[in-house]
Amino acid sequence: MSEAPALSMPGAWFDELAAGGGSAEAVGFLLEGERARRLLLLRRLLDRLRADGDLPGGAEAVDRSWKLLSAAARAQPAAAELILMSPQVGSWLGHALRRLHGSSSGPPLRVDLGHLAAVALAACVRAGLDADTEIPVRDGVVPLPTLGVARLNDSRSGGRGLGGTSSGDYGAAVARLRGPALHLDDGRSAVEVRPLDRAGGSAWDALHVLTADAPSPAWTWLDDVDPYRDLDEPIAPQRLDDAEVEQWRRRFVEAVDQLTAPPGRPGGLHVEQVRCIVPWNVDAAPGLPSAADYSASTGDAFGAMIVALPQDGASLAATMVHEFQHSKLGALLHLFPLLEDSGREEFYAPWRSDPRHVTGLLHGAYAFTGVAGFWREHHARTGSPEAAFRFAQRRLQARLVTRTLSTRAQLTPVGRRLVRGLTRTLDGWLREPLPAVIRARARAAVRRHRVEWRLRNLRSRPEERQALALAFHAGGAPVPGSAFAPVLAVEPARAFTTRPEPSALADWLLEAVAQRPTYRPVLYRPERLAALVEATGSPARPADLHRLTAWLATRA
Amino acid sequence: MADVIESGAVPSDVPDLAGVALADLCELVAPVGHPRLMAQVHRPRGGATMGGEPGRAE
Repeated sequence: MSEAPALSMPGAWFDELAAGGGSAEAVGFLLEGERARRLLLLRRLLDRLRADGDLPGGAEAVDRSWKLLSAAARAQPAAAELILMSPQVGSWLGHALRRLHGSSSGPPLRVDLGHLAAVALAACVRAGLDADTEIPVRDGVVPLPTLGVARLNDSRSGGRGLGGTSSGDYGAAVARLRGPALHLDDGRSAVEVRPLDRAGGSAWDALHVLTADAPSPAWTWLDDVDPYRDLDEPIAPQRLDDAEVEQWRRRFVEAVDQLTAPPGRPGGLHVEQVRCIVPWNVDAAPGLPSAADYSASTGDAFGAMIVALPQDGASLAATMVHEFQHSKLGALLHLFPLLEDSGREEFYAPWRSDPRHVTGLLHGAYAFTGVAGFWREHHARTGSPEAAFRFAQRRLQARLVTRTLSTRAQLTPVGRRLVRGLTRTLDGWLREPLPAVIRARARAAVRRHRVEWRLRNLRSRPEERQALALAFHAGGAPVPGSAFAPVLAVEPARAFTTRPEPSALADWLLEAVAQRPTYRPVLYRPERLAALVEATGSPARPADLHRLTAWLATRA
Repeated sequence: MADVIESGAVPSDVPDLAGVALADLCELVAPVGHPRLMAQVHRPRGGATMGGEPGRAE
C-alpha cells in the first residue's frame, strides 16, 4: 500500500468544488477519496485489534469478523462496498479509532470494537451468505448497519429523536444466519428476524427509506435506530412513530421538488448522494428553541445529516444543501491540507453567537455559499421575497467570512485556491440586482448580528476603558479606537451587572443610529460604548446612552 | 503542495486505492497508515464536526 500512487484531483473538478458546486464527476472523486480513507481506517483498526492481545474480543474475534466481511466482499462486492461507504460504518470507524486513541468515550470498549462483527454480519446478510458469529447487544438491541436493529426483548423505548440514552445493559448474542433468516440468542431471549425483509418480523426495526421521483428517482435512509447515527458517541434507538415517518416522507418529496438548480452548480444538490437523514427531535433537547431549523453532520459520515424536521420542503432542501456542503468540504479536508488551525476560537462568524476557529469559519463559508445559491435559484424561480432576503443575507455573510479567511487565516496554496473560488462565486452574486428594500433588510440583519456579537464577545482592554472614562469626565476627546485592540470576553456578557445586556444595547444603538446618523462610527467598535457605560457607572437610560454615544462618535 | 498551479491538477497525499478490493485489504503490504488522516480522525469528533446547531455548528 505504501507504493500506491497518490490521488490527484483534476484541476477543473477542484475548481467546480471551490466555486461551491461540483459536477457528478467532481463529487465522484471525493467519494474515491472517502473510500480510500475508509479502507485506511479499517485496515488501521484491524491491525490495532490484532496487535493488542489485551483488547476485548481478541485476535480470534477479529479474524472471525474479517473472514466474514472479506467473504461477503468476494461474493458480492457491491453489497460490501455499500456497507463500507455507509455513513453509519464511517461514523463507527472514526469513533472506534478515537476510542482506541482515548479521544472519545462510550459504552464498554468490547461493545464499540465488537461492532466489527455487526458490520461483517450485515455484509453477509446483504451478500446472501450464511454466517455464525457473536455480536454485541446493547440494552437488548442488536444493530446491523444499513439494515436496522433486532430487539431481543421488549426494548422499544418509546422515546423519539436524538438524545437516547442507554440503561447500560451490555452483552453478547450468538448470531446464526441461514439464508434470509437471522437467529439471535443472548442466553436470556432468542429471536428470529429477516433483515432484508422490510417487515422483518416483530422483533425487527428496519431503517426507513425516503423516496422521491423528481427530478430523478432518489432515495435516502431515515435512520432512527443505528447506534452510530450521531456525531460520535453511540446513542440508543429512538424510533419514530408512523405519523412522524409519514411527515418525513412528505417533507422529503417536497424538498426534492424544490431542488431545481443543476446539481453541479453552487446551491444545487446531488440528491442521490444524500445517503442518510437522522431525525432530530429538538423538543427533547433542553435549552434549544424548537422553532429554529437545526442540523448537524460529521466528516466521518459523508452524505449523512442530522436534521430537525423543518417546517416546509424548501427549508429541508436548504438544510440538505447546507449539510451536503459540509460533506464535500469534509472530504476535501481529508484529501488536502487546506489551512493551519491553532484551534483558537477567536473569529467572527455571522451565523454564530460565539467566536469560531478558522476551520469552523471555512466550513461555514462553504456551507452558506451553498445555501445562498439555493435561495438564489429559489428566488429566480418563485420570486419569493423571503428567498430573495435569504439570498441577499447569505451571500453577504459568506463573503464577509471569505474576506476574513483571505486576510487572517493561514491557508495552504490549495486552501487559497478554494477560498478564491468561493469568493469569485460570491462576488458574482453580490453584483446581481435585488430589490433595494431586500438588500437594505439583509444589510441591516447582518449589521445587527455583528454589533450584538461584538457586544457579547469582545471587551475593550482595561487601559482603553480607563482612558475613555478619564477623557469623558475631563471633557476631552475619546482616545481613538485604533489605539487599542479589543480582547475576547472571558465571561459571558450577562455576567456583568453594570454592563447593558448585549441584545438590548445592540437594538438601542442601531435604532439610535437610524435616528442620528452621526452615531454611525460607534457601530464599528460598539464594545467601546459598553466599556464606557461600565467605566462611568452610567445607568443604561436612553438619555445617558445618547450622551455617551454622541461623545464616543466624535472619534470612534 | 507547493507545485499547485491554478489550472493544474491538485495532488493529494491520500493513496489511490480505487483498484484495491475490500476483500484484499488485509493482504496489502505494510506499512499501512496515514499520519495526517490518523491525526485528523483522532481529534475529538474527528476534528471537523459541523452543522447548524448551537454548540456543534460551524
